[in-house]
Amino acid sequence: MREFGIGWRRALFATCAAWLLGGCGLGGTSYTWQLPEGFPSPVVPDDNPMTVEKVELGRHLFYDTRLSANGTQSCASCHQQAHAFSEPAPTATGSTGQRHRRNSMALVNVAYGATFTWAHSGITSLEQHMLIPLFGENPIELGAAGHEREILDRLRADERYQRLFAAAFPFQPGRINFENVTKALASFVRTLNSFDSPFDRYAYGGDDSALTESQIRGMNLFMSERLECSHCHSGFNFSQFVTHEESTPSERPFHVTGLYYLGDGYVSGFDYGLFEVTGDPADKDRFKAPTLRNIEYTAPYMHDGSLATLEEVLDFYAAGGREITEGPYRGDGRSHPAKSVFVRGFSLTDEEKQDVINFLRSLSDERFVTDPRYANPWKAEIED
Amino acid sequence: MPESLQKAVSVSCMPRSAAIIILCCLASIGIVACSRSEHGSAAIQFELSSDDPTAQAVEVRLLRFYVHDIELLEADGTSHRFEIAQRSPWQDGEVALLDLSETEPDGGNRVVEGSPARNARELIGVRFTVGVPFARNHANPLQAAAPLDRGDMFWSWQTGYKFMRVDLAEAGRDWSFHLGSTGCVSASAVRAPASECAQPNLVRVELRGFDPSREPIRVRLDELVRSMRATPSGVCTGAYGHEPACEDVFGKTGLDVVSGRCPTGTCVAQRLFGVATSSGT
Repeated sequence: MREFGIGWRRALFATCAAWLLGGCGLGGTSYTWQLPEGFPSPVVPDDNPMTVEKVELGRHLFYDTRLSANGTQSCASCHQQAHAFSEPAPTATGSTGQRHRRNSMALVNVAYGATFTWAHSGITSLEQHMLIPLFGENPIELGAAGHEREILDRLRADERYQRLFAAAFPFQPGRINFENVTKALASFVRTLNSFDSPFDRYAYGGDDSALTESQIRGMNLFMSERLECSHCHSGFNFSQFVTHEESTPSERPFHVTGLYYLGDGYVSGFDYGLFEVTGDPADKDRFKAPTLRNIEYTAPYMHDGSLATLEEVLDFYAAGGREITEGPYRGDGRSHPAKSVFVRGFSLTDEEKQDVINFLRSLSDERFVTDPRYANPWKAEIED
Repeated sequence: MPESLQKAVSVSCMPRSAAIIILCCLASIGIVACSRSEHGSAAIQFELSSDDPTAQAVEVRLLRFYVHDIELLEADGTSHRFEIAQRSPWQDGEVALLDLSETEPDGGNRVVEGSPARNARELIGVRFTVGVPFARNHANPLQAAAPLDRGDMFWSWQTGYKFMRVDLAEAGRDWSFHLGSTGCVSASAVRAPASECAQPNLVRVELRGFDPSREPIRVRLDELVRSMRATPSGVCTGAYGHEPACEDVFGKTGLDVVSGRCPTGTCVAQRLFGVATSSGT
């Protein structure tokens, strides 16, 4: 009875908030998080409450190539469901063919993200983040900058979008605009939640049979002081970059892993990570520790996709970094002066290494990469 | 106002009793002590402290620790409990989290609020335990409420929380000391141990020669910095008995490295906490 009461008050509050924010009239159907018991709800910005209608609009936009200036790419071009919303290329290519320096990040539980992109301390909401793939000019992703009217005209001309926008943003004149595009995209991306891996069934569900013996051995190694993995890949999302309704503010550190070390100078074109945002030399080569959920599906690895397999990643950390002996980026990452204290190197037997990899595969959520709620709505229509 | 009276008043006001509050106010002519008790709490303060001027150059990235089981010591040799208040997100009525990090975006937390179990005449010291009680140290962190909801203070179900987490940086070098239980036996890293860990590593601290209701407890940054400098390579984040980088800093807990306990129950040899007038206990 008590729970019902709280739920009822929450629902009333959400409805009132939607009413106020929508200007007038009902803002839509409140979205219900489908999370396993005990998992906290993500934080949603006050000015963009989750509704079923916004999520549905966002899904259409996410998969629509009309959102890029030249009509060749959508968000899903680089964020593919089968790869946990990353892509199998080492680095991304934008809609104009420009090669990017970074690997497309997986979109897994990003609703809990404290910051976004591989190395940015200032982007703290998905709504804010959407401006980068949409309008960024260096690199160009969807390339919408300078083509705003053209792109909106395409959407306005489509009867389906007229309906979807009307449902998502009722009673708003001129509702087909980029602010609502970003709000809808953020709402859809917030639903991309993955908590149904064998690891979850073992750890949070208490099912002792959900992991194999090898996976349990690998998990124990992963969480050991010998390997130190879980210092940075920690918490329920295997990333330090997590925030949610019940969380208290926490550190949001960026780390040097020893992938590169170019010395004190500045090499033009090289990706210095957080330094490019803050300008602080101490931030050179710092990147965030991404989630490891669904890591099996997101090869290749690291911010520039320079490690092809999980085996290579383990070898890299076992060596305490990487030395590059030729080319413009030569240098010994193992001796990077700002390298994380937890990247000290370790040795593993072949069996132990396989155990750790088997554990990492236990973080795969098959339902997530096949869930029709996350799939291309345009394609489904064609198939129907 | 006589100083001894003010001392007694500042922790002796009982929040639940209006009559006592009025008496307190009459006795001390109002002011600081009673404005505190109107909020229903007294506070034990912690502060970062160093007698080494060169320690100022060290960046305190993170310095957090849990405390529980606080006792106030009186001049007549008796002691009584200091009941930790409920104060989210820092205290839950049993355990408090202190955060003296320089870089903390929300300003950290330097006090434990609560109420003494009875009126004191003259306080001359304090006892407290650094760490999380075993019964609460190994539960599902997702279902833990503040202050036990901090992912960066948790290792795993098996080993539980980092009782104390210190991350320092100096001249481009990072150094860490993370203290918690070791030798915890369970089916896997995400299963809780059924019985207490071989080395609980709970640090029972006793500090004398000061009034904890008025003077802060000093967290000895200088000792931590000395340990950092004494170990030019490596960090101490576990394996206290085997890791060479732990030898110096773990010694400052006063714990026996094999038993994970202090010989007399109280860690008399600890050097991580102190008071203004003396360097240790």
